Amino acid sequence: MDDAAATTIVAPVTPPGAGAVSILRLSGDRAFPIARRLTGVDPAAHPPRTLSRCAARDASGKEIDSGLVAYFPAPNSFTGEDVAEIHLHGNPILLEEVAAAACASGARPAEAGEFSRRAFENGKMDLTQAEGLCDLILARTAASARAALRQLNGGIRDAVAPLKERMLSLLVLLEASIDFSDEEDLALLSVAQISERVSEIRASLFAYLKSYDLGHRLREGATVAIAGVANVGKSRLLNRLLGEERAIVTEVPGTTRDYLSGEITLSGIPVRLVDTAGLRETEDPVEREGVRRSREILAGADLSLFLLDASRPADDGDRGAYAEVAGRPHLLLLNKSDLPSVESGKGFYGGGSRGILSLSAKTGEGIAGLLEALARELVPGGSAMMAEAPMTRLRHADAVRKAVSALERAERAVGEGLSLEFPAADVREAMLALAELTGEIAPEEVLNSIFGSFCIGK
Amino acid sequence: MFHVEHGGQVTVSPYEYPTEYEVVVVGAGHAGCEAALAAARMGCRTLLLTINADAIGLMSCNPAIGGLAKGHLVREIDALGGEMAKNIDATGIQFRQLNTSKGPAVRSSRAQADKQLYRLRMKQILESAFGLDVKQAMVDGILAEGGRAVGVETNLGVRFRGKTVVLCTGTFLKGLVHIGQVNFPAGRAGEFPAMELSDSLRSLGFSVGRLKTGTTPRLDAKTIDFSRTIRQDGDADPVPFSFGNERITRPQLPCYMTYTNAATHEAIRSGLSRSPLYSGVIKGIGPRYCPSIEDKVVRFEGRERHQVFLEPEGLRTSEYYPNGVSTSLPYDIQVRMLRTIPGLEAVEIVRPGYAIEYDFVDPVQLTPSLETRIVENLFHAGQINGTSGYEEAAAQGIVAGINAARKVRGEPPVILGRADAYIGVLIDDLVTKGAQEPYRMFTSRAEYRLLLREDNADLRLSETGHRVGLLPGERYLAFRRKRESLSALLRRLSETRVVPGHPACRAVEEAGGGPVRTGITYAELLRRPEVTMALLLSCDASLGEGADGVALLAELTVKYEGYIRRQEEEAKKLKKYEEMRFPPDFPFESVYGLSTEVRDKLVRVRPISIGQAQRVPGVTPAAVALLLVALKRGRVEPPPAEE
Repeated sequence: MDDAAATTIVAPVTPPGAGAVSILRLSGDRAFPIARRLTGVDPAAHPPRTLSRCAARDASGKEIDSGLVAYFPAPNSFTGEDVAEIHLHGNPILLEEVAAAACASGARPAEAGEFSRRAFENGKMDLTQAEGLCDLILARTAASARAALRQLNGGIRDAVAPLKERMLSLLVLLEASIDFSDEEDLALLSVAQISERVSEIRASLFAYLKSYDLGHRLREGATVAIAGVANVGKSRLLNRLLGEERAIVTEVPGTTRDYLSGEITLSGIPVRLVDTAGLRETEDPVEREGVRRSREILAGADLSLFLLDASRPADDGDRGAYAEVAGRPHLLLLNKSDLPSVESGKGFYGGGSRGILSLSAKTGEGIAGLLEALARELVPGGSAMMAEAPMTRLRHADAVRKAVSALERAERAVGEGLSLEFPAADVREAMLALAELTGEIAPEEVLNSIFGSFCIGK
Repeated sequence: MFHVEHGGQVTVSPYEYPTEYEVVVVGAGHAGCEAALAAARMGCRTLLLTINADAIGLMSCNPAIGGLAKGHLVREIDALGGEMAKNIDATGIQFRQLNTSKGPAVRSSRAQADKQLYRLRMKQILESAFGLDVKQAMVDGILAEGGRAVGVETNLGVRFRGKTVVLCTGTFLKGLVHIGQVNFPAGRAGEFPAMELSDSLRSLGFSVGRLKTGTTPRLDAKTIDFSRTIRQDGDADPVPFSFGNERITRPQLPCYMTYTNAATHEAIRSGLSRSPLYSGVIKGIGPRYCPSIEDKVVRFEGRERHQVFLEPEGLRTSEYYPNGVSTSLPYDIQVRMLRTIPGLEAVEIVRPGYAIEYDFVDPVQLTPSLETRIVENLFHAGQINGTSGYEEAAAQGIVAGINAARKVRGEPPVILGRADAYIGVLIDDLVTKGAQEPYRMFTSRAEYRLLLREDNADLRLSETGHRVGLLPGERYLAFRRKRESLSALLRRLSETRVVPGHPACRAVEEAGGGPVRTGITYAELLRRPEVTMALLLSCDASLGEGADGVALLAELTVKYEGYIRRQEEEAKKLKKYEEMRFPPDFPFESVYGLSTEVRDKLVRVRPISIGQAQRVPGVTPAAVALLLVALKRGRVEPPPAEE
């Protein structure tokens, strides 16, 4: 088997189906000769990264389609390899024929994600960038897309890079004072200075960790559960928030047997609103199943909206249902403000409640206030956070948490007067954790820095 | 058919030496001595060839063994059953523990040697080793047959046959000494170079490079005014290197410290135009961390002074080694420069400082057993692999000797891991990353520094030394007793519970610790920062009944348990990848999906495991994932597109 052919891959990069234009991408050592054979356009005779008219032909020379071709020589291409892109008319049959011709010339169909994987492999993207690309393609709101783009452009790496830099320079000093303690005049740090530096870095990392609260919501969205006993207006509130008639609205208690849901965008975050079945003990097996599933939703929700009917005094049913949300983040809503108010909700103002809002799902009164309150709860840090590249995945947060706890240990070690190799081990561990985010660190780096900045003689 | 490379003009008819050896070691420096002793002690018929039988185990540069990270290497060599630690213990004239104010993992031992006694004792040990012949000979070529080394040929046309060959050539391969604008071929000042051997290696297919190192002038003590220097004594109670020695009895000498100054630097600058380094005569790459004094003055222009240690070369010589002023400046500049230094105003030079360029063989051409991949049964150790330092050389020497002997017996090689020993770190770095400049060991090169301490080198390696048959039986038994006594003590510490008011609790409170309010174990007490094993011993003498060194080991084990555990867990993760071995003929060339760049790097190094592959510079995590897939599925070709 021809070895080089194994490394040249081909696949359409536009969505399947008919359209105006479809694009076929070739990447690998033989992308240029193959594309040249297909299109007759000589990559050497045309400027790179510009479109040239061409006729796409199969191996026998039969014309399949007319289109455009562009050459991206390595390493200035998406994958870092030689890349050729052929633009064809958007007919899947034509696309398939040209791809088959490319394979006949020695290319291999690309696997899912293989172009990105090669870009990662060839150092065109780090891991967070590759994730950003994936998120950008799947983003559900404009703000999510912007966050993903910032990540694709290396935003997370850029956010942690200065911190890694600071850790490295601290480690250099620690290592120097260990490995070159027999040397003269090394400008070393006092214990207090080490402690201060570690705690500064830890604080910065911890601050960045906060961006995950927003970032993961931008990527995954947030879930808001609407809870309360039957007939307090949950379905009507959902419809009001969605601005459309989605639930069946009747006056018979327990009408909503299954949860219904819809999605809205709130400060750029995709928010899934879920109407739960009335939380009440019942003999009806169908309704009981609904209650069970409602509890699951409440458990998984980022926030719950607990509704009371303000036009009647709260009863044991309300109080029982409230117990289900009391320990979790929730807002207390007094619905039916269009009717004379009887219930103030005061008895419910407990544990996890963040305030009481009065509104009417029927008239829309108080809905704007509710949306504001929702945004406040779900977009911590608000728009200030939106400017930087937030961490979007648990993996990111885990890595940073690991780094933070290693730095906490370093602070403790310094505080307890342990010798420098212990905080050094902790700082190293923190750096490794951050390196897990994006790349690697070799001890050689540390040494190189020592030699670059100190006079070491023996 | 023999394949012999001759660069010389004279053809002599070869003489087949009648004895056939199992291990032939070329070079009797610090690597060669350990290699030859290891092979002979493991029962192999061994030949050690040296260009000068008066220079066996010679300290070509500074008269000292050990130092930061190097002391660790010496103790590891000792734990395996090597000679270096015993030799310095027997001939040391000043012992010092370094970094004692720092932590347990980075404490190191260093000792000045009586240079002549050191080499003479080593020579005697070699001469009295059973099964070991020492001969003076200049080796010109490797005898190779069908890709295997089968012996060596000397400049006299003698062919020594050996099942394995270990090259420990130091700076002798096409050695070229520089002093100012003068240069001449020499293996080291005053000795023949080996002018043919590296050509033989080249013709066998090795890539050969050039490195440079240097040394200081030697000074006459009669002409040094020590009253103008700062006296530095060794430790009052010198600690031996060898786990087999209890104390040092030899008389100890002081060292002295002085400094360069502006006048020194001015003298140096005035000679730069005639410096072989700065006039471009020297092409080889020198060590950054062991720079010449001219290098320091040029690179760190702002520095007002540099330290100089005056170290005695022995009890019966007046030669002193001025540590810190390695130089290849012209003779007149050396004299002028030295005489500006306090204490050296009237100094006489016995031997000038010089630089030396020499051939080395990039160690990526070796497997982690130190056998070359190009010629089977051929091993390289020491400076030929691009390292610097006696300890680094000896560490490779003992491993090459062990593995040559094992190869003879048809046994698999001993490969120490990065979490097992500094020796493991050293060899892994060399064969994985190659040597771009002379390689020196540092504690920061070890990821698992807290596990790799001087104090536990025997716990880490004695089992291996015993298994390969190198560590003497009585040493192994002593080690077993120590290990048992350590675990007994650890058990006692964690099981003995004392109540408030107990002498130990009172002693802790008096030492400034917080009050002890409830029953508490010794181990829990020991975890408090202000509590030491010595403190507990003062309250309960029975804790000190174990073997030597056990109390300290127990203290470290208990005090730093969290750190040690975390590093052990990391090391365990690493081990998993080290154990994922590639078959010897694994075709890195055709692993599916690898970029050309990564593939080239893997082909150059040919890692033996996924773990090693991860450490090859430029191999990305994604590439490692591809290797894992290829290794697991045995799939190195892409699925065939068509039949």
